[in-house]
Amino acid sequence: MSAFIAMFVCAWFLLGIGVYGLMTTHNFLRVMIALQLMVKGALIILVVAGYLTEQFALGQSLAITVITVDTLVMVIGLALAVQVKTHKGTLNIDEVINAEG
Amino acid sequence: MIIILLVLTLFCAFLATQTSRLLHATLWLAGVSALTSTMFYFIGAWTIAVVELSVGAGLVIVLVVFVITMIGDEQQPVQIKRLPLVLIVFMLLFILILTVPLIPFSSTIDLPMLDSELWQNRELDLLVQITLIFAGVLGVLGLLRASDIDEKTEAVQTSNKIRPTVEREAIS
Amino acid sequence: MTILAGFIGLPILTSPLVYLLGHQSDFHRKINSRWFSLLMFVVLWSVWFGIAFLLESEGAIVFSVGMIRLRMDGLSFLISSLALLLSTLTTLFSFHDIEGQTSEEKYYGMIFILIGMILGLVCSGDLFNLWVWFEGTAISSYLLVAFYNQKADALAACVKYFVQTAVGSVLVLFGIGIVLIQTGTLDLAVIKPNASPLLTIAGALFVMGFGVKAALFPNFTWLPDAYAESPTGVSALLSGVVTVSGLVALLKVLSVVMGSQEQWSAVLLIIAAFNIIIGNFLAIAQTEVKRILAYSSISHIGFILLAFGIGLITHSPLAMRASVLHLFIHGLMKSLAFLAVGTFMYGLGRKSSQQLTINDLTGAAQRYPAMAVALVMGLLSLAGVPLLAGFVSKWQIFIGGIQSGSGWIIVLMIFAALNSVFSLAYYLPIINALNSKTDEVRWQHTPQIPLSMRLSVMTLALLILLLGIFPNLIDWLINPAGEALFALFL
Repeated sequence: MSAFIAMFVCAWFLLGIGVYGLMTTHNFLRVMIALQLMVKGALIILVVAGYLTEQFALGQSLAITVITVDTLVMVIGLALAVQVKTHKGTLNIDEVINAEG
Repeated sequence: MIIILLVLTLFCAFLATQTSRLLHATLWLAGVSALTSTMFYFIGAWTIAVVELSVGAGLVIVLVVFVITMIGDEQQPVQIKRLPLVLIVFMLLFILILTVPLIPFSSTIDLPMLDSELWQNRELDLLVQITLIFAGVLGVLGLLRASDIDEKTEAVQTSNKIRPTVEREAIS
Repeated sequence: MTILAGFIGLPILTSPLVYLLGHQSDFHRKINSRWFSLLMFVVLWSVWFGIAFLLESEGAIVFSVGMIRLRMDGLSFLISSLALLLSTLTTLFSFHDIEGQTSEEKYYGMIFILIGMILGLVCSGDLFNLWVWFEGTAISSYLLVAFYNQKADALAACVKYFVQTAVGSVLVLFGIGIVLIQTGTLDLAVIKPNASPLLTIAGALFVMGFGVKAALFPNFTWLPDAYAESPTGVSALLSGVVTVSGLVALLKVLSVVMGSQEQWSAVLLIIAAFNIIIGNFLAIAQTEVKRILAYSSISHIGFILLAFGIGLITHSPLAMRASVLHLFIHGLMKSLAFLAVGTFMYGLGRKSSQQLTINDLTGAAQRYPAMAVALVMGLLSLAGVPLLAGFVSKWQIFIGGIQSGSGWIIVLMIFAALNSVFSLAYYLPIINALNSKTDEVRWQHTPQIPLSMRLSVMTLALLILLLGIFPNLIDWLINPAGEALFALFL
């Protein structure tokens, strides 16, 4: 039982580390890495939620769906990153965003 | 056992945001994926452990490394910013103090557990995922396309523009 | 009823067909995807008629897949109709607007997927399923926003949109996890709200997460860039339906986690007030026309949320109906404005993502009088001038608020009315520029506006005028939606 509580706490801390990573970086790829960390936290909390309510299969199927969808989002983000680097020359978010009006 | 895994996971995650080289950050992210997958295995959620390991520590890392080699590795100086860290820690403690005591205790759960059929009740999620994969592929193809205007359509466009002015000159 | 499955599944299934049909190298065969899209829209409208008749007789259509229920009620039907109408007109408009871009078949394919995702989002009866459809709308709109992928500004706008939406969706996931821990089920019809702190935190996460997509304060910074840099048809679609669908998803989800309705409605009212005033103030400083319209969208979403909050706090079905009416009419007005601006851009020969400032529009009324009239109608309707539809919906909101009688609500109504009048300050310069009698050289060699563009703009303008004079024409659409929204919460 305490294992589940510990995992619950860990998931929130992963979210916190992800948000901290988002706020302290300027590189778009690091932003994506921080997003992935947050998604890992969400996965843990979904699986734990499934276990705590005695619906093991539900938690896992939710988590698999999240893995699929967020991998897709990651792939689109990477394609976007490639295009931004090609046309803007930099992946620095401040420069990318502030250059326009 | 799980506590050790948890502490290691948080350690790897924190390093993933702090290292100066992008490639190292990706490797720490792979570490987080592997440790999360091990945690799932120890609970007994074997299916998701396998999927998380192959996708999280496999597919995503390979893709990011591929993009990094295409784009170039940018270095970032390591500095720990106090204010965001303090804010986040306070928010987390606030949330955890509120929520953890309310988690429903159940004495019948012990580790590990077997899982039954996964998709039986959530077929609609599966169908939407398939559509999303198609949408994602279309999106990536569209984002990465090289945009040069077809010569024929350009000719049609310019002829459309010339025609009304020619008519106007003919009238006047 | 399988007709519901057909309604949602049809756009999703036609998308690959549209893509494959257009994926030919010959120019003349590329046009196939356009006509096929039109054909599929005709089919979709006939299915829509079937659903409309079924709803009249039965009240709600339910279709279950496994344990997940899809439910079409008045509110979902309203959003579906709005989505269908706007996407038909947008596709019609885009025939010539994105002509010449490589891979236009991806554009049409993506629009179909986006519509299918929105239909699924508003019909979903399960919390996690709602998240999956929500991610679907996000994924299908990334390409549409960054469609001009050679332009650095469009890519930057998409980056902002991407990061904020992705963070929002992870926050929603945490909320879903907490709701599952607390209640043990994900079925929206079964979860009963109670005042547990877990559910309150889940609700806060939902407001932050869905609020990004719904452009609520303070998460609306992605909106002006995304609306201004995307193709005109996409801006019209985004402002009319997609952002609003985020708001509807938020409301559906909040209905199950609201423990204490007074406190939540106070929070929503404060957010709405911030939206209204910040949208207005930021719009004044803009010179680019599409950005003015984007900031005005932020303001109008504030109006919709304001009416909803008042309906919640005073238990008034009239205010709920007003918010749903404004939702529908704003979709029409804003799309009209964007499409009309798009025709001027076409006339000037610019791609939609290049800037069109107010100065660029001077003297446009001499060359394109019909389009100028349409744009003026759209702008005046947005400002709430009588005889046009915008006045009707804003008037309904004010009546709904004043009838409640509470002191704070009356103050909010005065605040909203002042802001509504204030919005004229940024619409009038555009109208002035349009009608100014100058001898501008730039309008002299401009092409004719194609029939498809004129048709879509004129349809919307006619609807705005008609609904302004006879607002009861759409009672059959608005009344069930208002009742459904009311029934969700009270």
